[in-house]
Amino acid sequence: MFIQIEFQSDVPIYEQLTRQIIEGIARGEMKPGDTLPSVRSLAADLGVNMHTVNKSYHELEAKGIITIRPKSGAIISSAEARALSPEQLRQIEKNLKPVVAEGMVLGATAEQIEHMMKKVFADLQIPAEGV
Amino acid sequence: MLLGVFITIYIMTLALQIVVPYIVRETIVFGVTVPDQIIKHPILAQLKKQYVRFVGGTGIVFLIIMIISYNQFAPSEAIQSIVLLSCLFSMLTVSMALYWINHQKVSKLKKQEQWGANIKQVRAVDLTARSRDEMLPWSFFAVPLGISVFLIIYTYLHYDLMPNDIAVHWGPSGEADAWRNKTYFTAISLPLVMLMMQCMMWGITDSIKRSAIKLAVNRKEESLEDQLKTRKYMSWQILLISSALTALLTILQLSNIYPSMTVGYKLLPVFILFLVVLLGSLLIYVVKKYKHKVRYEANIDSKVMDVDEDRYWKGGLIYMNRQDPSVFVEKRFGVGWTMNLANPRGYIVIGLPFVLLLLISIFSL
Repeated sequence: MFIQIEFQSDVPIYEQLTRQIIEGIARGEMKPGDTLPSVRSLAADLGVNMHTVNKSYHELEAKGIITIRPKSGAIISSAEARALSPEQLRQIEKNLKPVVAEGMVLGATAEQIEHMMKKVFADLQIPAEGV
Repeated sequence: MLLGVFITIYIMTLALQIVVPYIVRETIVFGVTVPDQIIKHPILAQLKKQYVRFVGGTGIVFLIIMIISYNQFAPSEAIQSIVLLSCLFSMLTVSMALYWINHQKVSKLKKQEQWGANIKQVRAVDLTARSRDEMLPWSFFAVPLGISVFLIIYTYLHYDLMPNDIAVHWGPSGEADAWRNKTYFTAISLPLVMLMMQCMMWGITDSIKRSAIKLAVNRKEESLEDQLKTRKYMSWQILLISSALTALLTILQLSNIYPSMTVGYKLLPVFILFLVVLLGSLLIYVVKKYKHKVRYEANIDSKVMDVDEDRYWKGGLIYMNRQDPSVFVEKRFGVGWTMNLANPRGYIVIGLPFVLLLLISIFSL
């Protein structure tokens, strides 16, 4: 699975990394049980500081998407292990709120936003190349 | 004999200098990053061709000078060696100078025409690449180390058997030509040198393993394949050199313990074999590298390009990048790898054994 990092972007590197790994899992390019590369080697491959990769991995762990084991590394959790909790659902809603609000202010209707959601969902189910 | 060996080395070096522009990545031309979008710029192909013609032409002239003047100075071997070496270095100087001129030309053109000014720069990584890395594990490099340690113990067990003068230098014909008095230190100086060199090679391989697998963003699959192959062959190559060196120095050390081994020209084939292995493996590496190179049929139509790292390359030759955790990166002009001089780890891996090597040489040789 490929990821692409843009160094001049306004989005911090660790954030880009987190988003793309999540997207890769959503697309099914990485499956539960797969291991992510070690922090050291991913940092080398990206040409960034180890802390950057570490931060991203810890964020993914906090979200319940991966588990970090001392020796075997970062493993993608299985669907059962990351069964959606009400708290996670609340978090997603919270993250969605500013985006929907922006749409409302600009005049998007509930139908339009609902349609958009379905489109994003469908897009992620078709394995696409790159970002 | 000397001339024969030297001509072989000279021709190999010349051939390497000539093919360099065609072995390195196509997106790096004379040490300058060229975006895939203008990779087929007519000037680039023209400069490469010019370089090959000029370096090839002058290289042949120096070769002729070398052969003629070698016979002119026939009685003095010292002058002959100087002539041979100066021809080799003249050829290298010419190719370096031409590289430098072309580097400036391409840099200037890049600035003038603003190559890649509006193209987004991204770094691509394959998350599964590491699990497909086929570099040899460290245990392979520990075996030669064991031989050195064994040789040191063996030498001390047979210390009384050794003659009072210990050979520390051998001429091109395989005959020892410099000796030192036997002490507990000089007796094992050769295996110690061996040990340091083996440590260096181990360190280099380990550092390459920890260094980046760099992908070309517009040719991800092919460049990944190229990178994995390069890393694999490189680790084999280093192991081969380490083993060949171990074999050569072991024989030399044994000949110190059993001087009858050096009588006549018995060691000559060993030296020649060593040279053949060294040059042969380099040749194979270059051919393999050329075969797996990512090729571009035309300019790539894409909105992204690889990160332009030109500012970290001084003159396109010396790499200094504080942010990059890699110790080794592939050379931009030449065959093989070069050190990230801004990474302190490199100094420990290469510098420490090297300093120890120097100290051993100064005190014993």
